[in-house]
Amino acid sequence: MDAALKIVRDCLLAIKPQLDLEALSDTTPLLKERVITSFEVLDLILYLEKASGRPITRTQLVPGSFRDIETIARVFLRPENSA
Amino acid sequence: MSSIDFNRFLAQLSTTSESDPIDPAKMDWPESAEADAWYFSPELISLYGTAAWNDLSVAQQKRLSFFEAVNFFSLNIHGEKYLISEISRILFDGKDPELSRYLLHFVEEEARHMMYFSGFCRRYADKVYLDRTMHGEGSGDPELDMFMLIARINVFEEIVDHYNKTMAADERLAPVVREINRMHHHEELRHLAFGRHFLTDCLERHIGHWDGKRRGELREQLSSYVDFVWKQYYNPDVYDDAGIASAFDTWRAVMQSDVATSHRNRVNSRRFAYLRKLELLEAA
Repeated sequence: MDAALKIVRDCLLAIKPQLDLEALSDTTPLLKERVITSFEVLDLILYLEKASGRPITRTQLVPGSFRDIETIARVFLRPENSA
Repeated sequence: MSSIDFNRFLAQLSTTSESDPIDPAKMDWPESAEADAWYFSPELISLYGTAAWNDLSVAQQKRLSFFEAVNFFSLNIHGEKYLISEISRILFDGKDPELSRYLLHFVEEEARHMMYFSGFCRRYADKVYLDRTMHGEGSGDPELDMFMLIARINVFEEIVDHYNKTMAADERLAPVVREINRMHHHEELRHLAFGRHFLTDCLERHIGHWDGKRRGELREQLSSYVDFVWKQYYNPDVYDDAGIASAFDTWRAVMQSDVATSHRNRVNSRRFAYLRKLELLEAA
């Protein structure tokens, strides 16, 4: 598995230990399917910052950035690829 | 409360706002923030009572108290920014003009509060902590969204006011911090009164007939919001700035600690009795 995708999955599990990660694909809509709520994003961000070693920027903080695992990996862990 | 009574209440709030404004430009700012002072009541500091707290010297605890104050003022600034943008969207949109008249004062007062909160952060810390919050989208039902907006604002302000009231009276704190907390508490009392009356009025008029399932969803949403507000009081950047090793691990540990959980439960129990009475939060 791609390292960035694994990091996102680890972060999701850290904020929500009861998550069934195997049931989630990399494109499962996380907010829309209520896998996570916008309120839980606050914790997720801190884990992502810790994993990436850099702080997020305010412009990254829009619901679209947290659409699914693939998007989170692209926006926060591979920002150079984020168009 | 009938709609006539509610309008009278709104008119009284507006009149008081007009006759009793606080001017942040008159604030007396000290030259610098002394190192040997408390800037946050120790008992309210997020690490208070934990092993990490007990490991700190008094000087380190005071340093932490400074950055806790910067975080508290920062989260207020970000909360007020959100509030101003959301309330402004619904001003003068055809609803009761007395409601818009008061909400305009509400917005104006929140903008003034940001001046003294940011004045402290800018002068003494040269920063406002980053806002990591993200707010979800509305439900599409304007009545419900307005109700939830005021409910969320009220939850935010109740917790803030507990801190303001405590710190305004805490003689151990640097006078500038006490004054900021006093001014905020003074004006927030009106906002809190408005929120409580609005929610009661709105429940009676629009939500009273909702079935148990829908009201259960409301309770669940609001309860999650209480947790969300509390999360903002625990910031690893604060621990890092205060020189605490392993700031991230400290953050992770304190959120789960019994002492922090008890503190939050105690404040919730004191400040949310009316929300429980309205059945907007689960019984404690």
